[in-house]
Amino acid sequence: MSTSSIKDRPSTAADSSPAVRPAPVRARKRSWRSLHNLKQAGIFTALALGGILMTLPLVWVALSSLKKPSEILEVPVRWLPDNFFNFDNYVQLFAQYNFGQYIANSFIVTGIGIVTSLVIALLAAYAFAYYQFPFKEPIFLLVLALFMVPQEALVIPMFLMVSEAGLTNTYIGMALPDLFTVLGVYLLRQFMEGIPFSYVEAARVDGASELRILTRVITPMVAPAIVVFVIIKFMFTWNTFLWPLLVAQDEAMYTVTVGLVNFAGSEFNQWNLINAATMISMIPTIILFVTLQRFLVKGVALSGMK
Amino acid sequence: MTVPTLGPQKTFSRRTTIRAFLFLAPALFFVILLFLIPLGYNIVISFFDWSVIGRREFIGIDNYVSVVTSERFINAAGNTLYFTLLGVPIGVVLSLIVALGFNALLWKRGSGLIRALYFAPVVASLTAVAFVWLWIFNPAYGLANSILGFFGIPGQDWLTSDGQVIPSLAIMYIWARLGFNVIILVAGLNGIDRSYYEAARLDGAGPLRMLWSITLPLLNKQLVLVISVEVMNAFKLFELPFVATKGGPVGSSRSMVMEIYELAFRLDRWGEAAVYVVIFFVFLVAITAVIRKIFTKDISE
Repeated sequence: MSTSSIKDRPSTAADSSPAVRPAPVRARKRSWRSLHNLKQAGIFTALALGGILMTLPLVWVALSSLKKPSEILEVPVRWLPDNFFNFDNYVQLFAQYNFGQYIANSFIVTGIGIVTSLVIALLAAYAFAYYQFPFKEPIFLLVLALFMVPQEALVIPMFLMVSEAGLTNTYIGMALPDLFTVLGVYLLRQFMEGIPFSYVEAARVDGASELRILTRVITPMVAPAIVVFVIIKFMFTWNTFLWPLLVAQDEAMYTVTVGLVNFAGSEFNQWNLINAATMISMIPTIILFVTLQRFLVKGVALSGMK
Repeated sequence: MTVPTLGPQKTFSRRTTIRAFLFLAPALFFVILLFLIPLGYNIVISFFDWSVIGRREFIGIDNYVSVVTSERFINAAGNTLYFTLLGVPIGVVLSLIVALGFNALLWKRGSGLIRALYFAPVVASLTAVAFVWLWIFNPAYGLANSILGFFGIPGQDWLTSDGQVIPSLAIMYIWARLGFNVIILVAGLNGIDRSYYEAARLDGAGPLRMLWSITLPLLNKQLVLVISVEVMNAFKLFELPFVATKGGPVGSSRSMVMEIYELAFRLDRWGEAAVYVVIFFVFLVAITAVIRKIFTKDISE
């Protein structure tokens, strides 16, 4: 009935001394149950309140982005905009500023990163899952260790390399640190090792080439892991800031995060516009989150399961 | 045709090995290009007086000496450590409390929606997070002071006060990261065998005792992961102060990565910036090792 609630907060009723035993069984059961329900209601309410508090800042920005300049500076704060369909701020951002271009740039860089890192991860995971070769585990451990190396810390040499190669202000240069992701190799290897080896063996007996086995047999079977990876990768790449800030020097190459910061710096204190620009930068990941939340949560949980 | 086989095996077929490395080649190429070469290159730069216009003069450990003794470094390292020590423990404990709550919640109706509420901030970029809170913490028009005012508490200076700026940044960081940690911890809690608790209950163990002796040791893996990732993320603090405070007021929120950016890209002192990177990594490796040590000891007890 309640085995798992017991483990966190065993009810006092359950701990009471055996002397209470002779009480009528049914009555005891009922009080136990109502106590249990009360406790569940308490946990539920506390979690719900915490959740509302967590979302409040985002809701506040969304509401603020619909306000007129006069509404936004009211003291004490005005919660709701006068007109919920006032999209003037958004229209102005797309008409007078380059937010359309920034979004396009972000999509291009993110797309390059997703496709390349996915292909590389599929190939590497296939080798780790289905081949025996010297230094296999040491190599895998080396790759995994890089999981803990933040790219942000390597901007000094990376930037020098990219600028010496003449790749500043190019999409390839902007996507460079995102072309490979350790997480992809790890996730896909885990999934591939869950597939019975007989599938690979059968395909080999049929004379399929290794690349064909990977693309035609294995890839469709690891589709759930691919979806999870693509979503997480999209989120991370879309949200990067420091690297595109350094490499995209022309305004026309700005990604949405860089464009947002640059815009806010030039329109200081135009809070209705800044809030709308913040919303614009978040809209793709929010859409992703709302539609594919299940996969995203699963992916994060999986990446923590090593 | 050689059939590569699974299972333990000490001799390797040459053909299989070649094939395996062909499949691994792109990944290894990027491991070398994106991690190993930059790491080595960075160490080289750290021994040079290096300017982007072409000055490259070997000066030994001069950069290290000048960085470690500079007030800028001590300030930035101190701020980053303060932020980490404030943000990570509070963030992890809060995540653990929320995760235990979800784990204890048996009502499935609506629990998915509530979980989504906690996770929502995770999808926002740190730049967006910085703007969200810059607006909320606005001393004159912000939501935070309005809410405090409602309860009769005087408005705070938040990001504009040198005493409150790091705690304010920590609040932003904890908010942005909480949902991520909760999901990892809930997944870990789901994996714990219920029978441990039954047995402990028969032995008369109380809830805190069970948390301490069963839940935490068995959640070891996830806790190590969450704490290590949190420390790494806190350590590379950049976007939040870069956007929300520009490192101010008077340098009280300048972080290590901000100094790296400033030294290299604004002041053209790449050698010193590279020294920050080296120190950054030494710190990170040391702290991660300590975390692992503490938690592996826990499990054996």
